[in-house]
Amino acid sequence: MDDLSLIEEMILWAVWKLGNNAYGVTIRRYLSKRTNRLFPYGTLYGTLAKLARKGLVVKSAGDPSPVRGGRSRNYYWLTIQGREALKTALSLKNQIWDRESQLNLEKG
Amino acid sequence: MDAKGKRLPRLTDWMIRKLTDREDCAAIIGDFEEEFHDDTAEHGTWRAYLRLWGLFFISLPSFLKNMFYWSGAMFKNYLTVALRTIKRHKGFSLINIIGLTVGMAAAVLTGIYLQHELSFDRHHAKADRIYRICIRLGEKDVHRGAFTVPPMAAAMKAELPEIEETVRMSLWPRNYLIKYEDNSYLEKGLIFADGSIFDVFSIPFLAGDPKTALTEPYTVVLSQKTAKKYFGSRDPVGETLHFADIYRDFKVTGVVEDCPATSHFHFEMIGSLCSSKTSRDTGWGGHTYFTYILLKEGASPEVLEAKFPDFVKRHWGVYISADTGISYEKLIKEDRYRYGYFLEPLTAIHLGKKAEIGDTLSIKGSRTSLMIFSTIAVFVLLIACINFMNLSTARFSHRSKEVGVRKVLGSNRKQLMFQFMGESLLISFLALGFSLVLTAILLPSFGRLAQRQLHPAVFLNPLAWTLFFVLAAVVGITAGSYPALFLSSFNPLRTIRGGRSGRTHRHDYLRRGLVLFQFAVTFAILFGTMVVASQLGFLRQKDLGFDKEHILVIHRANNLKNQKNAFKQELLRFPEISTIADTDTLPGRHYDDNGHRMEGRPASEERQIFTMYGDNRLKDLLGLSVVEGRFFSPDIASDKTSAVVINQTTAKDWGLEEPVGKRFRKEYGDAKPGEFVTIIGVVKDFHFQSLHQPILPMIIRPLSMQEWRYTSVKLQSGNLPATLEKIRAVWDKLSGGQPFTYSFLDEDFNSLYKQEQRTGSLFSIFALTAVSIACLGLFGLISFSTERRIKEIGIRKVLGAGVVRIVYLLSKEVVLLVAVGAAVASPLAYYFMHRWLQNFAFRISLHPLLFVVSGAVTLGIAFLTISYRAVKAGRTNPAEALKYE
Repeated sequence: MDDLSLIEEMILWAVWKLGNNAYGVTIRRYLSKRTNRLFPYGTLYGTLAKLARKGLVVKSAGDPSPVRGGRSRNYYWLTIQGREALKTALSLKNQIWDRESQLNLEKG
Repeated sequence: MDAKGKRLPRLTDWMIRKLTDREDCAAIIGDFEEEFHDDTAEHGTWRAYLRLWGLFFISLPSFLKNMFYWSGAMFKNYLTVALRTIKRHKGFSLINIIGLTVGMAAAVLTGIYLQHELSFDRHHAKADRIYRICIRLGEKDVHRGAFTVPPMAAAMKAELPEIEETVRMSLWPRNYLIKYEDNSYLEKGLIFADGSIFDVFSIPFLAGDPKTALTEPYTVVLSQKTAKKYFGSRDPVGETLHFADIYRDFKVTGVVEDCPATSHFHFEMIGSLCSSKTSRDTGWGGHTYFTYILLKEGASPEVLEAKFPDFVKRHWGVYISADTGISYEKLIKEDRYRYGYFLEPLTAIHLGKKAEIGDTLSIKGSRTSLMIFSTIAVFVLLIACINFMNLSTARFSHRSKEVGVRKVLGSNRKQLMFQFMGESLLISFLALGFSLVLTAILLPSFGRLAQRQLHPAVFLNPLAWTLFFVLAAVVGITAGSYPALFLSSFNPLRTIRGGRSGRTHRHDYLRRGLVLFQFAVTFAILFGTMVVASQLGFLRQKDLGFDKEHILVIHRANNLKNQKNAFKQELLRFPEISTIADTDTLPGRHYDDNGHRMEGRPASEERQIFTMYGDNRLKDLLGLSVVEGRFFSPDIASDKTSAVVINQTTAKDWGLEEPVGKRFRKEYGDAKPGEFVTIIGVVKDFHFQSLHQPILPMIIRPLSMQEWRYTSVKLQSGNLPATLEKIRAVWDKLSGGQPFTYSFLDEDFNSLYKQEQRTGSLFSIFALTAVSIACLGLFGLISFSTERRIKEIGIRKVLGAGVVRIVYLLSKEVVLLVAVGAAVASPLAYYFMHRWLQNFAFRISLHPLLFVVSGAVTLGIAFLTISYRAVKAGRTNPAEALKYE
């Protein structure tokens, strides 16, 4: 399996964190808050579609909501492969990102 | 805030819907709306809008990226399929591409030519304010010209406030021998002009001062090319050139950029007009100069034109009534004294028809032939497009399965239309590429044919590229539209099952119609070619009433001066030379026309007669026959001064029963009032002008030294080059270094039809192109229908049909179509060629045989194309065709 890009990793992470409440608005707000910048919908949906093609997330339509003008939400969940991919990505990062180099980097 | 939530602004809603794919669209709009709702609740309406737009704009790039990603993937598939189709059907693709390439090249070439013709004189910055003064005088059409009298320009500038500046130019074509140190050249491109030429026209100076360049007599301004020719890299300003014909030194006062090819007057040198005595004339009799005016900004040409009649009355009226002794008011009641000025816009001169006389120097364009060729080019292109349409639709059964599969897999009609349109666009852009290469290769030879300097510079022009692009797009869309509409409409079930789609009938009609149209056009072009060719043949063979063969014309013979008689005596000693005659003009060259009044008739009865000066040998030289009286005789003294010979038309025009002995008032040379010239003879009418014109009244006057310009020599047929060398040797001995210039009378006369010869060549090229493209298409079509009917042919052969029968079967429909096409096109072809022939006073009649012959040729070519394929089909072994049944 290909390595995940940073954006993909972030979105997978957000979907996992949000659990049963992962849909467009919440994912975007979560990421905006964590990254401290405005996260665009275009990137979000483009990446989600790619992740869905790779079989890392699934989506299903929720109930229609009045604040959305009667439109339903698309909820996203991680698949088992998605969980595995996220785990691999994080451990990969941890392998490179050991304590010592972090300290060295911060010291400059 | 109500529970229903705040609705998204309609614009955002619409834009998101357009930008996102259908699957996630609702969810995305929902997300936006939810955020908008929350923001409104939290931050208020204004901030919510701001945040909404911010969110939308940062999302835009990836929305777009996603959109293009998907359409890009489909595009790749279309491209693959299109390239595969081209590769698999090499023959069809080749026919399509070759046809379109040639058609487009024809269109592009014609476009370049059109652009060139329309750009004439537009390089002058003030072009829209420059007009040429033209006159109309006498009997309606015959006397319309651009020549004006010398004092007119100054009078106009002084009296008419609309005019900012005027310039007079002398544009008569004449060769000047010009010497500088040891070099001498015969200059053709010398014009004379007032110094104001540089205020009116934009002629950029490279050296010298435009304000003073031509204000002094005997000053001259050179073009860059000429300056280099005489002076190399030295500075020419201040140098002097010797004009050998007029024994004058001219001072070079400036160098200007070379005259562009798109100028209606052409110059290599501009001399100052005030060098000539005529420029200071105050009389209103001699029309010698071209006058151009520059209108003041905002002045209206109509207002100016309205002031002309008064102006004419003030000046010309005074002159003419003094000359005739009759009041102006009385004179203008008669048609031939109607004299007036009108304006011709500078940019209309090249293609204009207003002033036909006096345009001897300008490179004339022809609006009619421009129109004819643009139309033909469009039709040739159309024929190529039709090939494309026909072949693509004919191939539908090959493609119908593909269409079926695509439809079953979810393609909608729009996508299919895009696909087929895309394929045809691909082919048309390929063809565009090839055709531009072809154009670049052909441009120089086309330019030579059209006698224009066409520049490949168009290929650097962004506008031209836009036009090329549009051309390819239009061709692609036109050619692809029918296949796209037709193929995309198939019922998928039927096509996959292999049945016919049930709509073949309609499209067969269209195909037939298109073939019919193609051959109608082909026929018309062929017919045009034949008419032009036969008219040209007629012009060559028509008896002109004089001998033009084997006559050598020696130009500039007056430069021999006192050696003239010695020269003639020496030539007459050659046995090859039978006659030598001196004249001021020759058949096919320029004739002055002068007003004549007859003794015993009222002064108001003045008629224009074309005048030629010649000596007593002229009759023998041209083989003229005298029908009444006699020709000039060397033994009668009065013949040298007061005798004239007229042609039959003159006698008829004046209504003279017994012309010999009648007298005209002598109004030329050093005539005193009351002097007369007597008609001593009448010659049989001969074509002294081109066959465009009827034979007009003409008078031959005895030649005196000052008019003489040509010495013509009648040679016996035989070794022409050797005789020519002998004559040249005599000239070199006696002329004192003057160059020997000569021409042959028959060639000079035939060159009057240069325009028509060009039309003829262009016509044949277009005809060839049209015929080959149409045949290419027909070949493709017949190949296809043969292939489709291969089994039918096989069965027929098994049942005993012979080759002839099969050929008949395959070709009868097309032959019928071609015949009907020719019949349909005949009236139109007749109309246009009839109009073209009106250019000639002497012309062929459109004989029905011409229609029959061009029809037969069209039919024959079509039949040959078909039978090549049909015979092959008829001779195949039926077992080959039927072995899979």
